[in-house]
Amino acid sequence: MLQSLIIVGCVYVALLIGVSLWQRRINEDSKDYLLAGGSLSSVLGLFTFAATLFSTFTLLGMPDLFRVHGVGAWHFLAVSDMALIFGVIWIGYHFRRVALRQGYWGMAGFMNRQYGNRLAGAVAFFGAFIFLIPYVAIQIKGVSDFVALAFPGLMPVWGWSVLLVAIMLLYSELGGLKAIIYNDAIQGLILLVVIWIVGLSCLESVGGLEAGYTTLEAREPALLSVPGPNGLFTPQFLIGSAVAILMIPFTQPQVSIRLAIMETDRAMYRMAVGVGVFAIFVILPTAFIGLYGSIRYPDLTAFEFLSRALVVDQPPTLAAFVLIGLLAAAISTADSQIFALGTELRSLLRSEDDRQLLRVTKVGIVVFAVTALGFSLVAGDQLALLARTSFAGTSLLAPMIFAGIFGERRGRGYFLPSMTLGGVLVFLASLLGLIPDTCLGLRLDLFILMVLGTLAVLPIGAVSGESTA
Amino acid sequence: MAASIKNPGWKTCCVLAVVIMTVAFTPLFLPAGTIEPTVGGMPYTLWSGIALCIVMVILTGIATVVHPGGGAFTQAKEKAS
Repeated sequence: MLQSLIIVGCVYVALLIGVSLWQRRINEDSKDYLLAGGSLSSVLGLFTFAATLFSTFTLLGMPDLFRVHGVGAWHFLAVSDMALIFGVIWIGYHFRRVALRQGYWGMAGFMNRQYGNRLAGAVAFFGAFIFLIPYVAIQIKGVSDFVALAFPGLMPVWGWSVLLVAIMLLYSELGGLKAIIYNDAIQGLILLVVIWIVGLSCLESVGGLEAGYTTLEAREPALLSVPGPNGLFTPQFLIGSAVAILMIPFTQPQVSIRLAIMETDRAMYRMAVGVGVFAIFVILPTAFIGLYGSIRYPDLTAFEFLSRALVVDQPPTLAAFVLIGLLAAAISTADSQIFALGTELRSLLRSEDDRQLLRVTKVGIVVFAVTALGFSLVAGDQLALLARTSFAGTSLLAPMIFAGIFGERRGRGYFLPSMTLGGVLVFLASLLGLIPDTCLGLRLDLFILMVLGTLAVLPIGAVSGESTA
Repeated sequence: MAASIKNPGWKTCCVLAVVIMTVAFTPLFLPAGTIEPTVGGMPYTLWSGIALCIVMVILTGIATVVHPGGGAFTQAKEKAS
């Protein structure tokens, strides 16, 4: 299999670098490099949005969620994604109308303008940074652990991590956002094809859908309903996840920038419908792989199961494609997140010198990537749950962002950004175990979100007479 | 927001989306410990969740057609430029 992997891997990396070199010639200024010229078609938009949204977590986390916690995993991600796509056409329209009016460079800069102070942008940037870096890190770690397990002795885990980040940085720095978008399209297709081939192969191995679920019902019926054998998929967990996922297009900068650079509103609408279809198609086979795991490998650890189901039990050439698909899934999300953090940094900077701003942004991207790499070496391996924490963390920015999009400019000021910063810090304290993770019977993230949501609709800034620039 | 009031098709889609997504997380779609009825061997929670997703994609598709901002902003932007 190693030979197959080397061949497929070389073709894949050559393709990524080739696209970047091609786009490098087209990039003329910051707008081309950071915003892909601001004219994304619906087809490219669909693939880059989907590839950014569906990460390693989909390919590795979801099958394991189905295997260990049962069919509630479908609601956890797929149903939540349906709320997301409707939110894109509902709120996305208003977001574009307000954001594009003044020239959009990133959510942090947009918040600065909407609130008339630099605190709002700083909070948006801080929230994105603090919750995206761990998310990028777990993508890197997940794939590196997995590949190291598939090829023991070939390279240490950290070596795979460095290789992954190096490839990602190379083509991102070379070609900018347009290169990332084209590469996302390639990677999204690879992910979809690979996951279906493996999913169907797993389904065939358990005798088909009906036979598989009949076998599972006899062995572990709790997997066929909620909340699952370990009680994870409670209504509160699922609702909290859905709310967090629904807000991703506006709270995670790598996604919101893709809404902002769509060619037209109609292109964005078509893209949203396409993402809905993509979501169903990409999540369904993970249920098949999970079913296979529940029957064949119920007692293995997550990585042992995934290594068997995705690599060892597959023909060598397909296994090589699986590994490339995994790399694609990780890279396509991580590069977008790192690049978006660079764009957010750029949106906070003030200078007339476009070249200097671009230089600082490129350095920022490298710094963010190295930070994520460092974090990946100490991160845990609960991919799905860490991803959910990232979604929940960034969702705390939503009330401030929505108030920035929908609210009247007059009467904003510092109140909501300060409260949002407080909410993020309280949530961080709970993640570090310093305070309890529930409040009044609610998960703390949900409780903070409700408090911030309430504050966002109250005209407190206006009452206190805060000024806006 | 005024546009949505003048556009009953869009408003209906929004109300339906909110209702469907709310019901999605009630015991109607997530009955604790219930497997039956099955479809093609799939337990109730799974197949009803898949059906719900298909309905939501169709609804979103319809909503894009009746959206009050069907490119209006873009057209205005093009005119301005």
